[in-house]
Amino acid sequence: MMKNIVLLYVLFSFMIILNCSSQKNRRTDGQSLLDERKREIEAVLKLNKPVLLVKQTDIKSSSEIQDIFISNSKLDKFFLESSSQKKMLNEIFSISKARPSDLPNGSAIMNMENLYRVEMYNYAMNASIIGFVDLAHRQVINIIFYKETQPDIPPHLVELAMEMAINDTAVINEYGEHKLDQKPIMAGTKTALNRTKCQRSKHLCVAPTFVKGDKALWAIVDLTDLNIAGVKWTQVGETGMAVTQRTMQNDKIMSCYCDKNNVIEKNDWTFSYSMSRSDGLVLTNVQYKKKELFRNVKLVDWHVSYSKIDGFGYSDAVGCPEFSTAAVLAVEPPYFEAIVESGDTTGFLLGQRYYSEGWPTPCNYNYHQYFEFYNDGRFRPVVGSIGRGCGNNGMYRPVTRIALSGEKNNFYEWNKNTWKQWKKEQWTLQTGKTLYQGDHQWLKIENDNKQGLVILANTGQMRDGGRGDNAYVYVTKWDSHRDEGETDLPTIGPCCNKDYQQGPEKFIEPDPEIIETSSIVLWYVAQMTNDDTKGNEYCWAESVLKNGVYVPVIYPCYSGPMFKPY
Amino acid sequence: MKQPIYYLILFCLCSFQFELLGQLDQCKGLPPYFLKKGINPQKAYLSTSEKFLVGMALIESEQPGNPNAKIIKVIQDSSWTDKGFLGAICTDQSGNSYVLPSAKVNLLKNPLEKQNTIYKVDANSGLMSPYVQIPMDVLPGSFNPFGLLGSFYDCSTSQLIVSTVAGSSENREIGKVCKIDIKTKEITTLIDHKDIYGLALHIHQGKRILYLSSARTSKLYSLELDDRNNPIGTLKEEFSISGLGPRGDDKIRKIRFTSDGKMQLFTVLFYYNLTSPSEEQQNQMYFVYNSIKKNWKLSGIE
Repeated sequence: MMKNIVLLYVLFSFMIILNCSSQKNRRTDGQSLLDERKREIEAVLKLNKPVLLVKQTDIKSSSEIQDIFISNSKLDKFFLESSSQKKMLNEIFSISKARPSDLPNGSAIMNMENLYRVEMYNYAMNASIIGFVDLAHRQVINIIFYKETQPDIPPHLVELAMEMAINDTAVINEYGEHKLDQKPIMAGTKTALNRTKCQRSKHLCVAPTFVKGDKALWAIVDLTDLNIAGVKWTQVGETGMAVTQRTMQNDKIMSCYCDKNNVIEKNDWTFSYSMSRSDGLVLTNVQYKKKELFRNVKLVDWHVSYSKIDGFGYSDAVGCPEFSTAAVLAVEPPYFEAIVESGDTTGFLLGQRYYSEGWPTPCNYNYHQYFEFYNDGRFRPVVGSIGRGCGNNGMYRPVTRIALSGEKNNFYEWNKNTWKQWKKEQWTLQTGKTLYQGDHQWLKIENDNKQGLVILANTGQMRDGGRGDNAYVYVTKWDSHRDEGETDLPTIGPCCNKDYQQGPEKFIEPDPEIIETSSIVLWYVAQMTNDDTKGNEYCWAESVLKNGVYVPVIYPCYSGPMFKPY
Repeated sequence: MKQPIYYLILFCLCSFQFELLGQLDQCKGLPPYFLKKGINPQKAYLSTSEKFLVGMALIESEQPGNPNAKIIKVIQDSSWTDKGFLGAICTDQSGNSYVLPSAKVNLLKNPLEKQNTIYKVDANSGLMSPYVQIPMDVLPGSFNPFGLLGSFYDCSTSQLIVSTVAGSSENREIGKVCKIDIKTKEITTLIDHKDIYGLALHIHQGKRILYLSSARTSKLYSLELDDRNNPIGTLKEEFSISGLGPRGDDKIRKIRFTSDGKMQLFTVLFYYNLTSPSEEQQNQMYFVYNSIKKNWKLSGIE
């Protein structure tokens, strides 16, 4: 469960298998090269110059050349992050005799005999640093920095990637046979290793590829995080798009979840879910103990406004990574997780994360959506922001649409010690003065059998680190003859309205309809203010160096009411 | 995605000159409204990609072409902002500009039904108004919010060539390339059932070649046209940029040719979805033609 804690996790360290089965447990034991690699990294990060030196080279003076190279003060900025004084991991991939064509245009002609080219990779910055060392004069002639560029990887990393791939249980399971090291390499390639790119994580990745019949299995190995980023089958000889982290991730989401209904029966719950083009993960026909509770639940919009510039902000949709109107994308598959309270499993959740390319750098977003299904029938749609956005003065307003099952519902609000019925479509705002009955009972939906759902307000008591929702709640009438958001909704409201005009009011005004004994839709718009104050961060994310590479530190803000049957 | 149009030395190029240069859009005329708006045309450009601005802007910069240069003046007519976010701009000999819509973070200001509408900025008044609408077999939707993507003004025929992917979806490719006679507004389809992003007409070894990039893959195609821009032959695949550049899965947004004959490709991340405000993942790739091997070879990536 998401407690009120700072969560540190490695972005995109997930795996993807391009069949639609659930993720398999992976085993990485018995990998001597991997263990050795981890020990090497740990040791080198204790040095002043955190550089793994070249392992194999034909150059006799390689030690001296590397020593001259890494002693150059111009490289210091690649070793240490000045703000945190933390080390960045570097590795020299190769040393070779320099050729005249290696030198930048305009370089002075010099004796090439003692000139060596050194290629270093910085894992934290995902950058290449090429240096030219004049051994005779023991000096570095030139240093060139290439951002988002990776040199050809050295043989020991090829071996490491191969070992990781052939020992990975998910790769073995996907291939369907053991002893992958004896399998043929991909035809038409000189080695079993193909180049690939991990565009989203900006990590160093390669792809050992194994042929089976007319198909080839690509295992994308992340050499920065030292894990398997995913696997994908292609046809041998196929000349389509390159197999990369992004194409692999997108293919999985598109083929397994976008507009494809996945039916779940778990504990006493039954429902379907699919990824929409602009409304996030959509639940349909949610039943508890065979009783229909919700027709449809989804996350319509995220409205983000910034207070320093009036009218500045963004209205984002979340959804499929391709062919969609989403700007913040589902790139990982949805996942199930147990809900554990006080040591007991009390239910399960279905979660989904969304990223904009580039998060957690400024003006990029990361949203998290999950649905909690409790064994006692409680249900909670939760949405959270994980920053970072365009500023430290942002207000996040997620718009959730909850269509309730039942044709004869009535809606009530706790008011002055009684449940007061809403006769017509309307909205209300949760404030500090809002009164609740008992355990934060604020609103309720009741059918003609006097059964229904109580809505517990979120005032920060939900044990997810949320600080309360200050939510707008709207109730509209559902009519099968018109579409008020049942199908995929484009962005329904602007970024920066500070009042109730967040979009759902369009289905109320100007003439609110009678909602007594009818089918209703509830719209929930939480309001969360971000904060980057040290120790009090909220809806925020930062990048920090850990083990020599950047990882995000996240400070989520979660929102959402609880539905409790009675 | 910067879409500036520069007006530095482009004023009176005759047909001989643009044929010599190879790329057939080198005839942009200075719009008279530039002067009326009190802007120095030597330092002015039109842009549809300024941060925090919706629509099109006329920018006067100390150094056009340098994104870090000081901006002296920004002018926006109300008719340039009420069309929502905009994309590619082409300008004809008289200084009229033809501007495409472009959905960005969301569709609040860019209704789906307007995604195939070409807007014209009148050279004299500076007012922007709908010019022509490319017919759509299927309206764009949440499965693909885009319509028009690429444009090229051919000075030699006074035709505007545009590409649209309106109505295409994951499993349905119904994009097309059309030419529009700017005098008669007659629309003629050149290519059907193909999603094309960028395009450019170029005199290549004496032939009129329309270069086109796929919106679905990283491929570049060519199509020979006659002197009235009617296709001769069929679409030919020239090369793919798959695997090239920092991302390796870019699409070619815009095709242009440098004065020394290099093909300049502006590449970008594109998967038929909208983008975050900060997403500027783009590169420029240069290709040179090897006349012996008769193919294009990568010469650099920026």
